[in-house]
Amino acid sequence: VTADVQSRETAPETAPTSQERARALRRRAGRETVLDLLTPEQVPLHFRAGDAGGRVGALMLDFLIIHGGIFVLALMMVFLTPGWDWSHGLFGSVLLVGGFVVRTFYFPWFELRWQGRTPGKRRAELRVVARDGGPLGTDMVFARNLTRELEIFLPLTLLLGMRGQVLLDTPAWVPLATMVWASVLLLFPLFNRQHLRVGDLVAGTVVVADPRPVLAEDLAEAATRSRAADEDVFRREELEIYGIEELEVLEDVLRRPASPHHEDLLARLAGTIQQKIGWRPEEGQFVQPERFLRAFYAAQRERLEKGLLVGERRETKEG
Amino acid sequence: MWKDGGVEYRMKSVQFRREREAAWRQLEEILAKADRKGLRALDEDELYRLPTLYRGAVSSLSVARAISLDRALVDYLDSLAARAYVYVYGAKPGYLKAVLRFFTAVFPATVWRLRAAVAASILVTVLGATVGFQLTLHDPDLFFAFMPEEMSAGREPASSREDLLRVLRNQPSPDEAEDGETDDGEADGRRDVSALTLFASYLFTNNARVGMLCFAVGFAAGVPVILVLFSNGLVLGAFAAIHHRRDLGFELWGWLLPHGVTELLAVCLCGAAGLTLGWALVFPGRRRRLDSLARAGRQAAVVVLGTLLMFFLAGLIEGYFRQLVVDDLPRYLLAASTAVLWTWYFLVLGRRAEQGGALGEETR
Repeated sequence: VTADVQSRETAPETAPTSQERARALRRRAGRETVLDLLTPEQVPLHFRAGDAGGRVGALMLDFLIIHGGIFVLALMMVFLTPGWDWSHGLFGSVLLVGGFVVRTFYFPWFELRWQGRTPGKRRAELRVVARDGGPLGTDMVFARNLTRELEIFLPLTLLLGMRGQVLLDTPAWVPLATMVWASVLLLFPLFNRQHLRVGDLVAGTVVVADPRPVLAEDLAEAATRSRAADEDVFRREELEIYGIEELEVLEDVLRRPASPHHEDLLARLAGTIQQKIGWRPEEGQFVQPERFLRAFYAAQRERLEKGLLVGERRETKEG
Repeated sequence: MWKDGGVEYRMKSVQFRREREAAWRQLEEILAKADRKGLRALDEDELYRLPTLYRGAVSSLSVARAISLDRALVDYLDSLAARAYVYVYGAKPGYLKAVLRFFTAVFPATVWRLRAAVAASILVTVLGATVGFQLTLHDPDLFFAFMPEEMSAGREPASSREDLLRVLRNQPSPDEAEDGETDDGEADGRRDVSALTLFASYLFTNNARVGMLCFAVGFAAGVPVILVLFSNGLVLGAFAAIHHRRDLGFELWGWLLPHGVTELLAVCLCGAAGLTLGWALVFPGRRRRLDSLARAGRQAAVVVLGTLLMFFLAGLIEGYFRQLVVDDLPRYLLAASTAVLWTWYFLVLGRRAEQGGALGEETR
């Protein structure tokens, strides 16, 4: 009974720290999530943030397509329509309205049709999703894109020094204040954890990384298949040193493409591990570092996974 | 120990992957196809299998998280399940139907729901107009303080009655008439249809942009919206005042109202959208501030989207009708009919649609 009371008392203190610790680990591994949803099947889905470069690149690509499209439209009108030239009156109107329609509806059209992606976002493997996990509604898509003009294009225009007539003939502090305001809007995504821009804020959406699912080979499979079922290469104590974090680092290293530099790294890593676990090889066993590391990875993973099955999760090495 | 085709596996996670991998690959293939060609490109069989495979992937993910320490496997299932989730729960109805429903129900119903904000922004505009009118009437020089130069088209307090009337009637000014040939400007626009089209297009895109801006600045607690609406009113009032001084009130409103009813209302609706945003940010009520803002943002977006059509109509009227029709009677007739139309659209149709549940339950 005493032990039970004690564990209940200490639980609230230890729980947040272990949570924080796990989060710090994820952040270090670049796995921090911007959105955690619970599907109707009660399984949590984790979405990671798209990187800043990808988002800027996606925007630039979309921007290029939009204006390239308008330009092509103009060329087609001039060269394919008999009797039209640059000075034809309807030319300007079609361009104005056409340009407006393309600029206003390009993003919403694609984001609705392609489940939250535009050609640029698709290329950069990004996707817009609703923050509450529901379907991406028409209203959301328009809300986040109607603000784009104010949020991105207007500040850019101002910051690049192409000030409109709006700001001429005003006291000096007005352009200054406008610039500050514009840069706040433009840089807004950098100052919140989910990297929301104001449009996302207003629409209830978030831009997440949407990597193409690629299933890599199982590093443990080959190692375990070539071995008899009850043959153990490593002794139990040798597998009690490292935790999940080290296992993931090892997996990451093993999955890197081969190169001379990589051989070096493998050799050094194998040396470190052998020393740490006090490994004494039998005659001629695992002379090649990579073979040793693969075997160790498989054995270590097996050990830690067995731990998982009985509810014992060792995040990282002791001390 | 587990057996698979004569090969033995010591590890549960390896065995688990071998058993489920085929189903994951199938899902991957269907998703890749939907990705390339859209959901519509999927055949019946694929559509039928998608939800089942999705559920399989989600349950695999759940199991993998519990038993597997193969990071690559968990990452793969994570992105596979996430992609499938988007396609399974993000499906949309047809476009034409959605557009039709938008204009017959969703848009007017949302305006009706935001009626308090609409009333407020109309009030602010009227207030601005009254102030602008009174001030300019007493001190005509104030006109220059309210009026952006490019909007006045040469009309100012010093203009004579004839000058003002000439603009209202679309007649070229005497010095332009002497030149004979003038540019394809507003004054000469009566004859050149393409110039009128250009003018109408310009009006539409420009006004629509102002409307969107009005909405977008709303999240700054709504303060800039009130400023925009008020100064819009000031301009209107000042403009009315200089005509009123020359006894041209009746003609001016005939010139302004046919498109003005639609355009001013649309600006006020955009302003209401911005105010709603600001209100939701400052007074979130029981909701979390971010949720409150997102909810208001979606309603506001509906309103702004709807006003695009209104701006388009206003642009047509201003660009063609006003340039071609110079008599006061048809001008007032058109103004009155647009007023009746919008009143019915928002107050009758919108109210009915909102009470009929066009906006759905507020589950979010």
